[in-house]
Amino acid sequence: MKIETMDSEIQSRPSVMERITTAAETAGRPRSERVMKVLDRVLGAPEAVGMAVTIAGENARALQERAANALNETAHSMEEATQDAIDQFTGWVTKTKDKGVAKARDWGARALKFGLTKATSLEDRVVAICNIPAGLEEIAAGGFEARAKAGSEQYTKNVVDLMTAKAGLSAEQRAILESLLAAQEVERQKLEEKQAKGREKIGLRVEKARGRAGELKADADNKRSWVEKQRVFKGLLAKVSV
Amino acid sequence: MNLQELKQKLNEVGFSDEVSAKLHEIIDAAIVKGSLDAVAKQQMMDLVDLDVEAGLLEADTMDKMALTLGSFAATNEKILEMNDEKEAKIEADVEEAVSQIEDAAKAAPAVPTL
Repeated sequence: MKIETMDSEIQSRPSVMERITTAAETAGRPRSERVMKVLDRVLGAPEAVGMAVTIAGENARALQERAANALNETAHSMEEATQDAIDQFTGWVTKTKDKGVAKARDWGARALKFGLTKATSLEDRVVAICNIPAGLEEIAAGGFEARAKAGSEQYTKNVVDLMTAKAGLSAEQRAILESLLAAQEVERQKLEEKQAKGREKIGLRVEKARGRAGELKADADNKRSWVEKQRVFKGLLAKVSV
Repeated sequence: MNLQELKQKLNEVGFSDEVSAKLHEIIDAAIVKGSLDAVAKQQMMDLVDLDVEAGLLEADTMDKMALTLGSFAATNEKILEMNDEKEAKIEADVEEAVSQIEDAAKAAPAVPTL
């Protein structure tokens, strides 16, 4: 049969190695050297490419870990700085409140002598002014490390799976490396996005703090304007003859 | 300024409810009486001083809180700024390292087929 003939022809053909070796043996020394160089290239290439992919893979993994560590370190640093800022802020607020409340109590004691029974209302108002708006004390960067680590582990698994599945290092090696690097980039972007969320929270806190500061400043100006009118009234009262 | 005019002015000035009620009580009594005696006048002056003091305490506390909040916001902004700088450096380092890996991969010989 024709198919059997073709199979037997294929089976009877010399292998690539045999053909090149034969060519080298029959072509004489200069020819032989050139052929051997071709042979070296053919035989050496898979190993060289494989090594390149392996090194690139290891480098990419190390890079991913380095990037994750650096981003985590930055997140920790941001968290610590944020905690310090919150501690300092709450300390200042407590001082302001304590001083204000002490003055309000003193005022209340004197007010009672004038028959003002709602003397404690000033103390309540001072406490209300010193209330910290909700969400201002929340730490923005918390929990980042665990998420980044989980991402790193998944990434490493992906790379290992990829390299294991393609251990033969065929002509697809370049594509493998490309996908590996693409995975690296995706992972880096994920880490960046997580960091961005931390930044967003701090941004909101800044906005909220500035908003409340603006309200209080406006209220203070309004209050001082009323005080000025009260002083004017006192001036008029002083002129009333008894 | 007579007592009626003073009462009129009193209505135009914002006092706390309790102080306002006391001031009106004294001035109304003075209007009925036809004059404001020195004791009642001093009492009114003291009440005004009390309300002024309370108003100033509130305004001062508001200003201090506004400053504290402003400072807190500025500190957070500084933290963000420093964080952005650090992240930009990390990103630049990663970009450089990825480029080096890509260059190394491009330099690897292709596998010829026979």
